[in-house]
Amino acid sequence: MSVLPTGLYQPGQSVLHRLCPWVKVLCLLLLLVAVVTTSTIWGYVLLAVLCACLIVLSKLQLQDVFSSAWRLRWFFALIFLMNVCFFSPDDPWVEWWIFTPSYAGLLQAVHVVLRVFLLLVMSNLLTATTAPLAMTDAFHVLLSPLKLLRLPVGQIAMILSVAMQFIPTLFEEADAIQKAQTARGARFDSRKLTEKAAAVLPLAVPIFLAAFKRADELSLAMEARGYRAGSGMGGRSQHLAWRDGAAFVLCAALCAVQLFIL
Amino acid sequence: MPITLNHVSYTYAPGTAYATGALNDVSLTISDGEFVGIMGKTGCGKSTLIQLIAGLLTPTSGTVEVDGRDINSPSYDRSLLRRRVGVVFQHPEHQLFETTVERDVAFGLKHLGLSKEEKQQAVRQALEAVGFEYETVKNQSPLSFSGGEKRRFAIAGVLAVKPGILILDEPIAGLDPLGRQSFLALLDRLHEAGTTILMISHNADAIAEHAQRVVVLEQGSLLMDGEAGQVLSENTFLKEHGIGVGQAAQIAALLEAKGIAMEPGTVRYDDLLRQMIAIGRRLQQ
Repeated sequence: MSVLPTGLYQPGQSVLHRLCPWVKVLCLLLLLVAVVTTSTIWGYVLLAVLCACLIVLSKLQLQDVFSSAWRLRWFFALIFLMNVCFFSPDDPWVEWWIFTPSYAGLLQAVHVVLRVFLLLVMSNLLTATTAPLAMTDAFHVLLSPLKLLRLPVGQIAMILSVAMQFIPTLFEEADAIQKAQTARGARFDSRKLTEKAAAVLPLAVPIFLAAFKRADELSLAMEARGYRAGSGMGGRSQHLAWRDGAAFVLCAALCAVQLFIL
Repeated sequence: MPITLNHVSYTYAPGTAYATGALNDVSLTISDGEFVGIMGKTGCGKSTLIQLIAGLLTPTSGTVEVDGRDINSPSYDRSLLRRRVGVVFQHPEHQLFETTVERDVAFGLKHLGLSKEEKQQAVRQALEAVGFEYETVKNQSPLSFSGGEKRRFAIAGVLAVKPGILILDEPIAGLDPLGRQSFLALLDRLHEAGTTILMISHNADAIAEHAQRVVVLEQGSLLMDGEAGQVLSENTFLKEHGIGVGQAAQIAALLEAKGIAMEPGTVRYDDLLRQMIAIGRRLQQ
């Protein structure tokens, strides 16, 4: 388990890192709208240039941003081919069995792949520059209008932040248990399907037990420290700076350009 | 030479922002039948060291040899290592998962190609070694027992394979005094029977009383390596480096400070007591 997942938070001090997290999430949403509504070549150029600028601003290494796209290369190939072959039954180049590749399909395939790729890069940029806890704070702020509908936003944010905080712990625990069972002779790296299936139980049972025990202990500890559901806890104050406003205006403008001009 | 480390280094998550060095050019040889205590502050690389020896981590550079063979060479059969090296991790009770004690203890025996009788015999011996009666516990769920008992089941699961090299990571942390005593006595018995033992512990007393040799790590490098009496009597040096000092060694140092000459390397209670009785007799005369 030494392979780190992509899109993982990379600590840093760039402008992107210092943007207020909920503004960042809002900007991402605006940009998503822009990506989905783009249909002209200039729209894509604009968004690609924006992505490039953001990557430069974020000071991330290219592999942090692009490695997940590279991992999905077969998926991209598949959606490309499916769009080319099945999108439009009218005016195909050739007709063979159920396949009807056409110019319209090719166009659509390029659109879809470009969009998914841009979405992936943008969301990677968000998660790589935002600490997981900052992210839950962002959700807390963005969901707070739902308080009017009597939704327990504070509790949802708390659940999210607890869950996020325990991902590394559970990861470590799973790693420790895997090592312990390996030392006892479990064969996790075996290629045989029967041995692979047999290796699930020695891992799953202890991890579930540990997770339940941890949840119990945590709820006790929270109660002992006076946590009451819905008592308005959670969410540190988040000050807005001029760069947050600038980022928002920029993204909103871009979204408007995509929607109404291009 | 059962265990040899040649210039072993290990880095976690190399090439990312999360990279941390855990071991830095460590060379170490452990002979057959030694009882080695491993000490050091949290995060000094003790756990990494034993995982490298157990073949659970692959060194970033350097080689680890067990019984004269590089355990990370592609031609090496890992199942050989699993049979030879038993590892008791921190909180081994977390690794229990089977429905009955017998099946859990027998887990490591699965791939050894033993007959049913041989397996049963191995499980019986392992359970008796950790102080259980085979007939009474074998059909119960291991998860229904207390924490200390669960830990003994887990250790029985490691002992059932009869490893020639036993590695333990903080095995006595969290045990009650009686459990600790009987566990350390078990280690002494295994050691007498010829097992090589490597034990990580913060408990300087336990190490002083049971280990012959002590290795101290600091920030991924060897700080000290030598005979237990020699290493553990360096009170001031150990304290400066934030490593626990045994009670007997402290008393000996206090007596020396009062001008009473003690034998060098007095770190065990027995040695201390013998010398104090001798001094008392001399004073009476």
